[in-house]
Amino acid sequence: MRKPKNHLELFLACAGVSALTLGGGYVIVPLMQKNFVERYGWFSEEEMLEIVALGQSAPGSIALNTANLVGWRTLGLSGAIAGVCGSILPPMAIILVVSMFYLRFRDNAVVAAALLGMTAGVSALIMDAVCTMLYKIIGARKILPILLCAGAFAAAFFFGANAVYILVFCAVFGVLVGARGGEGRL
Amino acid sequence: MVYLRLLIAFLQVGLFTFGGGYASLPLMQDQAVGGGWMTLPEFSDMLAISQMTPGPVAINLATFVGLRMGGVPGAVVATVAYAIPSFVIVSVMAALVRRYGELRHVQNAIAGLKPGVVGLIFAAGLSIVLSAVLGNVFPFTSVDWVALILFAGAFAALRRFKRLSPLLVISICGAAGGVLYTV
Repeated sequence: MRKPKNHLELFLACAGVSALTLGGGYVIVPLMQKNFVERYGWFSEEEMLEIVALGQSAPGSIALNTANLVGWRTLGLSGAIAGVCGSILPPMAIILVVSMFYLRFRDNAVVAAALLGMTAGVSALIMDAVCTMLYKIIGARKILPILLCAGAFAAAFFFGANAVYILVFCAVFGVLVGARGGEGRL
Repeated sequence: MVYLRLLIAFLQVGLFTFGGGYASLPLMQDQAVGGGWMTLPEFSDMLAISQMTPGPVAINLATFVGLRMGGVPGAVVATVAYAIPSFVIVSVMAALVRRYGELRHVQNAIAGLKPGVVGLIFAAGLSIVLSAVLGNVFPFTSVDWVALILFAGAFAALRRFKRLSPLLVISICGAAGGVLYTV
């Protein structure tokens, strides 16, 4: 695993990901997976998933928390600051510009059409990342992780359960199974 | 003093946003509309634009509300105040995991979280796909063919070429959408 060359590279990488987050925090995950794992090689897929899981479990935006942890893992506290600043600046700049003519922006047909197209592209990015992660879990051929994954999906998708409760359940489940099974960790 | 009010309001929002940025929206509405800063229709306009523009929705909205209340300095105060609580908490978490990450219970908890997070991302992704392609109105009678074609094309390209740049994919889809929807 290589590290970012310096804080500027980290800052720019987080800024790039943040500027492309369209439609909620989960979009950041495939983008980070794509960039930080597959293109830059800063983390393994496993590590990235661990970072996302931790970022999810704290208050605040997933995008900011993930950028914070990415910074911590690679360059320490100063890296965390660089990552979070990188995630905040592009959206702030965009809103400052858009707010000057926001009613015209909202009602512009071409802008709306381009955003619809971009949302379709973002959906494809999410599902691409989801497929990669699902293959990994299913490919490991262990029953408990598959059940946890399916259960979390069903609880969120069909029953609209709060993500916090689902994550707390998963963490506690992991601890209990690990404590009982000794070697037979999840 | 408007900056102090923004600071206190958005520190609270940042602290109590659990489960991703969307959880912050009702909290911000409480502060902005409930606090008499603006009317609900004004807030809804800002929310719509915050969702349309790129970037985490909570950051966009905090910037917008702050800008409205106190100009550019207000925007900076609101956004930074929103980010501070999670920054502190996540930094402490990162330090703890670095220190105690080898402990068995911590490893086990993380092992449990990983498949759960994949399930959650799957659920969120599927909702976004359904709402993009089918308009999210049950029983899904109105298929958006443009969105479906763009989605399928982008998905196939991403699976085929692993190193494809996300920026390129989203830009092409945006341009194609701008052309296909308006002709």
